[in-house]
Order: sequence, then C-alpha cells, then structure tokens
Amino acid sequence: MMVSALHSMVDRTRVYDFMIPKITDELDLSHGTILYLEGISVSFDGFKAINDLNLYIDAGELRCIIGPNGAGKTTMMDVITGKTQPDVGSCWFGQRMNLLRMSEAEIAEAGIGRKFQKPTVFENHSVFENLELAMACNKKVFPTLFARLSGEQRDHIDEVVETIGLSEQLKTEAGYLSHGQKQWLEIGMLLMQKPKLLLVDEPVAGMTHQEMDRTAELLKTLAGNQSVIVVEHDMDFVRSLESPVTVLHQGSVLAEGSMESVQNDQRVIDVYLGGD
Amino acid sequence: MFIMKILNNDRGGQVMMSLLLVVMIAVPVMNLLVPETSFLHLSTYSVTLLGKYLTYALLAISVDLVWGYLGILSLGHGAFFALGGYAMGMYLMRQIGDRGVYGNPELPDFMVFLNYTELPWFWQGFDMFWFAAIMIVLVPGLLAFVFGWLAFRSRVTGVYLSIITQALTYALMLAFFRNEMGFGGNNGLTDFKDLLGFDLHADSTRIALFIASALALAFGYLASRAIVKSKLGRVAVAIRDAEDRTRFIGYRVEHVKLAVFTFSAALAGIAGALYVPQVGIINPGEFSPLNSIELVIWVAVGGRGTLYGAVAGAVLVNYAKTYFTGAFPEVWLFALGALFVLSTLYLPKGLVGIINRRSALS
Repeated sequence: MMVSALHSMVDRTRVYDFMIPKITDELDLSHGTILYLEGISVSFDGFKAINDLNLYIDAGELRCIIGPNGAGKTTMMDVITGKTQPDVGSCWFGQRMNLLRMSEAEIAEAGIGRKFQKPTVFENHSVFENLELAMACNKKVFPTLFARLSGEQRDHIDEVVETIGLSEQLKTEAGYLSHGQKQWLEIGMLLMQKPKLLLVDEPVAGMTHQEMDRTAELLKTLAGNQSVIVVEHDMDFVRSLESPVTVLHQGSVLAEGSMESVQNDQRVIDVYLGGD
Repeated sequence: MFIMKILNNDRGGQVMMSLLLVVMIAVPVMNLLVPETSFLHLSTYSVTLLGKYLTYALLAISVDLVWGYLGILSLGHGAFFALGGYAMGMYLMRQIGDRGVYGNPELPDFMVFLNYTELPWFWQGFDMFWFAAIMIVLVPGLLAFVFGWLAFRSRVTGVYLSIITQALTYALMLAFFRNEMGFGGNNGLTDFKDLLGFDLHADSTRIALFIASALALAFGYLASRAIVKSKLGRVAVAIRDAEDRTRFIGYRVEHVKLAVFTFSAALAGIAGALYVPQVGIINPGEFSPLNSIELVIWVAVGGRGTLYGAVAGAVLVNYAKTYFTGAFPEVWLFALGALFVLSTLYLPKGLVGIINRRSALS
C-alpha cells in the first residue's frame, strides 16, 4: 500500500487536478476541433451508462448521433453540459476549456447550447420574451434587474424570429404554440445565446413531414457558423441531414462515418438498424 | 412620473393604489375631524384594526413575491414578520425606561423579574431608533440570506423546501419561548409606552402609524412591482415554470432565488415592525407555523402572482376573521379551512381571477 502510494506520488506522467487550467475567456479553435470527449465513463449504481467514450467534433461540423435506447446519448449530453460528472475521462471545449470543472451556467455562457428532448419553453412568456430571456448578455442578478433592451439586441431577436419563422406569433404566449412551433422556438432560444456548439436532442419528435423538412433545412443552415450535434431516432430525418453519423452502443462508439457506410456496417446492422 | 411608469399596464395595481390613497386621506379625517356622535366617525379601535390589515397586506405581498413569481411556497414567512416585530418590540421596550413596574432605567421588567443583572449584548443599541430600524430589515434579511443560501445551493425545492421553512419558524418559536433566550419568553414583549417620544395610546400616534403602514404598503407594492416588471421578474417566472431550462440558458437560478427571497423577508420584517406598535405586543406565538400557513391562504384566496390580489386577500380574509371570531368564534378555523379548499378547487386564480375574467369577457 505504502509503496504504491509513493509510486503514484513520484509518477512523472500524472497530471494533478490543480495543474489543469479551469477556464479561459476565449474559445480556442486553433486545431479545428471544438469538442473533445476522451475516455469518458459514467455509471449509475453500477450500471455503465457510458463506457470509455471517445468523440471529437470539428468546428462548424454537423454531426448526427444515433443509437438504440439506453446507448448513452442523453447521458453524453448531460456530461457535456455539466449536468452529470463522469467517473473518469476528460471533456474539453476547444483547446483550453475544461468542461468538467465548469458549472452548468458557465458552460452555457462559454457557448454550448442545448435543446432538450421534450420542448421546454417558458409557457407563460410570449415568444418575444422567451427569446429575450435566452439572449446572450450579462445574466447576473443586478444587471438583470436593471436590464434594458438595446437596438442591436432587438435586431438580433427580430433576425432569429425570422429564421425560425415565428414572426406572426411574436406576442403569443408560448403555451399556445403547436408542438412543432415550440421546437423551433426552442432552437431560436438556443440561437439567441450565440452558441458555438449546439446540442439538439430529438428535434423532430412529434413533427409532421413538412415540419421535419423545414427543421432539416434550418439545422443545415446553422452548421458552418456553429457546430451542431443532433441526436435523433428518425432515420429518414438523419438521412436528409446528409452529415457524418456516429453510432453509439452500450455507452461507447460502435461506428462512425457517412450514413451509407454506417448502414452497411455489419455490427451496426446487428444492434440497431437490423430491426429497422 | 416614476410611479406612473411602474403602474403602467397594471390595472389592478392602479385600482389598489387609488383605494389606498382614498383610505389614507379618509381614515384620519373620519377619526380626527368627524365628531364622535356622527355616524361617519371612525373609532380609534377601527383605525388600529385597519392599520393592522395594511401590515398584513404588506406581508402578503412579500409571500406572493416568492410564491406567485418564483414558485417557492414558503410556509415560514411568519418568522421574518415576527423577527421584524421583535426588533421593533426591543426598541419599544427600551423606550419604556424607568416607567416599568420595577422602575429599572436600564433593564426591561421581564429581565428584572428573571434576575438579569445587566443588559444582554444583543439588546445593546436598541435604545436608538435608527439602529432598531436597520435591524428590522437586516435581521430577517440576513436569516433569509443564510437559510436561502444553504437551501437553494443544495437545490432543495418544492414540498421539501416548504417543509424546512415550516421547520425554521417552528424552531424559532420554540427558541423564543425559552426565558434564557432573553426575549421575554412566553410573554414576549409588551407594555409599550411610546415611539420616538409619541404616546402610543394617543389617537394622533395611532393615525400616524396607520399612515406609515399605508405608505409602507405603497412602497412595498411599488418596489415589488418594479422587480416583477423588470427582466429579473421574467427570469423569476421562468424559474417558476421551468427551473432547469432557466439554468441551462445561463441564469444563476440560486442567486435569483436568494435575492428575491431576501428582499421578500426584509419586506416581511418591515410589516412586522409596523404591526407590533399597533397591536401592542409581540410574543413567540407570532412564529407559530399556523400563522405562516394562514398567510399563504390569504394569498391563495386573493389570487397569487398578481401582488394586488395578495393585498385584497389579506384584507378580506382578515376582515372576515375579525367578524367571525367576534360573532361565531368556534366557526372561524373551519371557515378558513373551507376557504382554502374552495379557493384551490374553484378559484385557482383567486378572487382577482374572477374579476379579471369578467372584465376580459366584457
């Protein structure tokens, strides 16, 4: 015991936690990669939700993540947004931001936006107010108390409303919107945060086909300026995004590549697409 | 100007403030100028009763602020009210000076009775009004801040939070019942003589206290309305409706809760401080969990999430209480219980909800 403790103390390759820098203001994309997940494992009461997961997302990339239920897709999102702490592994945003040492609010502020599976908009607020609340700005208590909208901010809201096609409903309480409209409003709220990385969880659940097409269109226009990670069950929708696909299975990456190559992968067919 | 801006788009608030202004002028006139034989004369007893309702209304606003807008059902707001009341009571005790039964210039009667030889450290300074005035806001505010910091940081929400607020006020009640605490134990603080040199039993002082209560209510309403109208108010409602979502957008939910909760406790403290000189006593009974539950009922009956609804609820329920406990004392608690059940079942938006629906239809 003693000896091994001593050994670990003199281990030159070990990086102590306090040596890892916590946060720098600027997102550093000098290597072209916006998100690094390395060796992540998460277990709940012995059940391994994520098992040695490695995933890299490039700046401006649109990436689809598919996988059967329980493959660890939502848990992965939880790790990235700071809701869940992994048992081991590292998670970096750009070159210099260590997401594991940041709070949920700090991560959101740093530029990672998340759209939940169930659309959660603020039902008692109007579309305009929803977007205003989501807007990137100083969100501490006192600045919020005395906040006034600047012309520039108003323009940004108008612009986003245009993008998500809800100009007509600007003053409508979000609770009265249709399911699809709520999904778009939520994407709009993400855009108000001017995120660098968007996490989109099942964006087309419960949408009609037209709504799905519009959503695909919207996500494709967003990629390039932002990196977008889409988690989705609907294979037709994933195909229509024409993006690289990562297949998760039992908490780790099973296959990665274009939709065609993934579809022809025998392991993928066995665990997932075989039943499709 | 500023007031008009705050009340812009707030019909209920405009009506309430106008009524308050009318009452503020009419009550002193009817008490002091109208001869006692006249049927329009208002007795000093009634003035005090109305003043008491106004302090309750301010307390109700403080509860509505955290319950209606932030979704925190506090079942311990009576504690902040009582602490403000005790701070005022301590000042009033020191004002008695050597006019007490035992004639000790330094120690209040109960301390002489309990064989205190000197004033406890926490009674120092309460002979000065400015010090007491600061404590009235500071003590409840500080308690709320520390309590809130611990509770919100651990993300205690919903029923669990309600239960620990209830436990907080209950624990304080038990503590204040003890003679060793140095707050008069069971009997509390009473026998007050004067406030800032004015005789508390004089009609003019009663009127002044009534006007002070009305002004405090007006100030409390405007300040709360200003918060609710600000972006912070919209964030509060967002927290009430979808807390996690608000957190992911990047707001520090705990800080927002803490700020509003602390402000609300300070308001409750002011209400308590104005209540005590009007009723003439403060004792540990004010910490009773029942009181805190009752005041949640006022807000529910009036209509939560409107602020003026809380004012209406507090005044109406307390008027009913005064009437019932006089006419049919044994019925009151049943009536109160029935009121709560009925308003939750049939009036989810309270009395204000009916009026707003009527005016929306017409």
